[in-house]
Amino acid sequence: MNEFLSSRSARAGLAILAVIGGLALFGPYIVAYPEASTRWRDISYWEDNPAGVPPAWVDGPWNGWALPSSTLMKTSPPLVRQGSAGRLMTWRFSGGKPSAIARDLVFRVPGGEGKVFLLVREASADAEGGGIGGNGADAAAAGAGGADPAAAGAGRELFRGEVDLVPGGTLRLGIPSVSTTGISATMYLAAGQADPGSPTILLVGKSAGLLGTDAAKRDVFTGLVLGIRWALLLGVVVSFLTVLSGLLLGTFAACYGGIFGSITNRVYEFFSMMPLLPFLVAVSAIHKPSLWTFAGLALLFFWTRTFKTVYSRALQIKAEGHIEAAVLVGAGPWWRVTRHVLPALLPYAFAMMAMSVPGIILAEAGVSLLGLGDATTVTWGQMLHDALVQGAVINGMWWWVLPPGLAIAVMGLSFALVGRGLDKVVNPTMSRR
Amino acid sequence: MAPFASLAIRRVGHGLAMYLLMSLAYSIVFNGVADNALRARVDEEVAVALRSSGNLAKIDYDRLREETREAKLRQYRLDEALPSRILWRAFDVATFHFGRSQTVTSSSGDRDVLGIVLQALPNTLALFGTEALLVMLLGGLVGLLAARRHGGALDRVASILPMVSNGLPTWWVGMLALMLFSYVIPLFPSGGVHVNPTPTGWAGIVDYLHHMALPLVTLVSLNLWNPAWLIRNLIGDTWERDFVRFARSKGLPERRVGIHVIAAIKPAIATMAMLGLVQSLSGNILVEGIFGWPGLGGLYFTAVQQYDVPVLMGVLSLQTALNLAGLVVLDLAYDWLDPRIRLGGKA
Repeated sequence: MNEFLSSRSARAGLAILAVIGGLALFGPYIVAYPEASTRWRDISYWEDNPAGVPPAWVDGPWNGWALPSSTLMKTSPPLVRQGSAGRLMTWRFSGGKPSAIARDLVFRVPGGEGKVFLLVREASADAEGGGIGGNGADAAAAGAGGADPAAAGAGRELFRGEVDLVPGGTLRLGIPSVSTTGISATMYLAAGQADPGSPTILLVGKSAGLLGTDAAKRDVFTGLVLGIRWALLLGVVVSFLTVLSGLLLGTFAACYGGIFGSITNRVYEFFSMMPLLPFLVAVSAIHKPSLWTFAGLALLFFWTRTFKTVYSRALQIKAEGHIEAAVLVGAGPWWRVTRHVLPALLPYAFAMMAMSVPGIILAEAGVSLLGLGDATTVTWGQMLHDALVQGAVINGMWWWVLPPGLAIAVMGLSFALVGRGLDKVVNPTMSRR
Repeated sequence: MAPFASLAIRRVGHGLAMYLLMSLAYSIVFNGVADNALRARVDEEVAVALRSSGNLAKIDYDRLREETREAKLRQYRLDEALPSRILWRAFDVATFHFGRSQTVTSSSGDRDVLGIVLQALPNTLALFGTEALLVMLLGGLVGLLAARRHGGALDRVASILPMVSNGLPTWWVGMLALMLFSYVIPLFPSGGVHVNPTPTGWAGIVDYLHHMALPLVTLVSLNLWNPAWLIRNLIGDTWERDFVRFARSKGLPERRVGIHVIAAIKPAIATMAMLGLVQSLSGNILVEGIFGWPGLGGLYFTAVQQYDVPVLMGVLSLQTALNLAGLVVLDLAYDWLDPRIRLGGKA
């Protein structure tokens, strides 16, 4: 163990793994979207994010200090003008960055009922009032006592029209690309119409989060953190099981030999030539592919990766003097395998387990990229699949393509480093140089 | 019989048996989907055959349709029992009778799967043959230089990069390369093998190489580190063997000693190179898919996306055949080169 820890590569690998493991454990508590693991494909969970924007830290003077992520504007108490046929309610919103341009504006009304007339417009901060001014027909319809609301300071119109308020629900209005100095909203309600409650305006920025968002408005960093657990789980479990089965089959085939040995070798030959993909394609034709189908097929195919090494090592060990001596004093093949050959090979197996993890993570990512992965979990391969399908490469959305692949590479490297550290310990001839 | 001839027959026989077994496995795995594809094709062909018989009386028309249908089902052996269907399909696949594709077509719009597959093969050979060659050349060079300056900068880089490249998805590096050098800075084309219209003569070759450059560089820059590390270790191990000590102790200059070392590791390197070449025949599904390279792997990528089972089976069968043939040839080459066998087991 000390020898293992004294190797620099092993320490580096373990350090990275510790960070990765910490992120996997505490990830759900540090990401901005804690429910993401269950609602990754729930569009409404992500609807307030900007779609396909770079990380917040790319903001700077070069893009006019764009608004980071999503900012909720401050809502003033409404200004109400009571008329004979209805009432005009005006709210003013402030708190956006002066001069910053938002990508979208989300106007929400929490209550109310029935059709109302709505006008949303830009307004400078010092202007008072604002409303459906300048339109005689509307003003007349409103019957607001002929007193035209002050039109001073009222800027560009953002929205004008009739909207349908849902009782107990939320009206959501997306308005593209606005400057964010100040906004006013005026609503005309007929007499007796229910009060709409206090509306809110969310300014959707041009950048978001630590690693930006994908085309479906999902936070890339959250996805990255959620992907760790699947990569770790799949990599560790599958590599443990495949190496274990390769180890057992290899030693038993070498020590028992005979028909069992030759059959195992034929089966090995078959599976080592056979590609995994056709089976996955065929399985996914019958039912939706899941991580467990992949794990099962990987187990069926990847044991061959350790079998041959173990087999030839076991043959060598079997021929060593101390084992022949054991046979001479009456040790049967079972004794030989369990007391001599397996214990001698076990350290190799640990090194092989660590070293086979990257291959399994790569295989899962490749399968997912082809669209044959588990569509219900958030894996790095799935993220890259989405990125490829939705044109992240063509549009240069590096924040979407770069992180998942880097994560795969870093995790692969950490296991390879640990594996090499172990290998140096169990293979002293290698560490001599 | 000469020992080499009998060995050759055994090797070829083993390869053929393997090939038939794997064809059978493909046939079993894809049985359900392939049957559905064939049924759809039968319906299509019945509809075509009856197009001119629309003016028949309803009863006659129905009878004719049933007869045509049954004849077609018999023709494609869909009326036979499951085991027999599987065996027939395995036989068809093994003998390269792949039938017609469902959606994928060749460049001339043809739907004959064998034609489609054979059209893709040269592109795979060009890209991956060049790749295997460059990987061996550059890998050998890096390995040699790393071994010469033991513990030097190159040696340390060469010891870490294999671990990095083993865990790195090549196709992801391809995505980055494509994004950077094809879309952000449009230096290279984003897919295919030629611009449209295809230039002729030398310009055509240059155009082909221009299309090949990005995937080739991506593949070589990632794949060269494993052979480099192996060669570096091989040289290091050989350097400590007795004959090298002897050569040194008798006063040979280092350069001459190096020649002895290289002569000793030549067979191992040749094995590595040949194996790399054989494996490269199959192409790479994901890398070709990302780069839109119309080789076997790219075809496989498309066939999976579009669920075109006849094309899938065609590609698989050809890849299997090439791979097995390559391995058999490789084995025979060793046997031939091994004096113990070549000289009739007397040496």
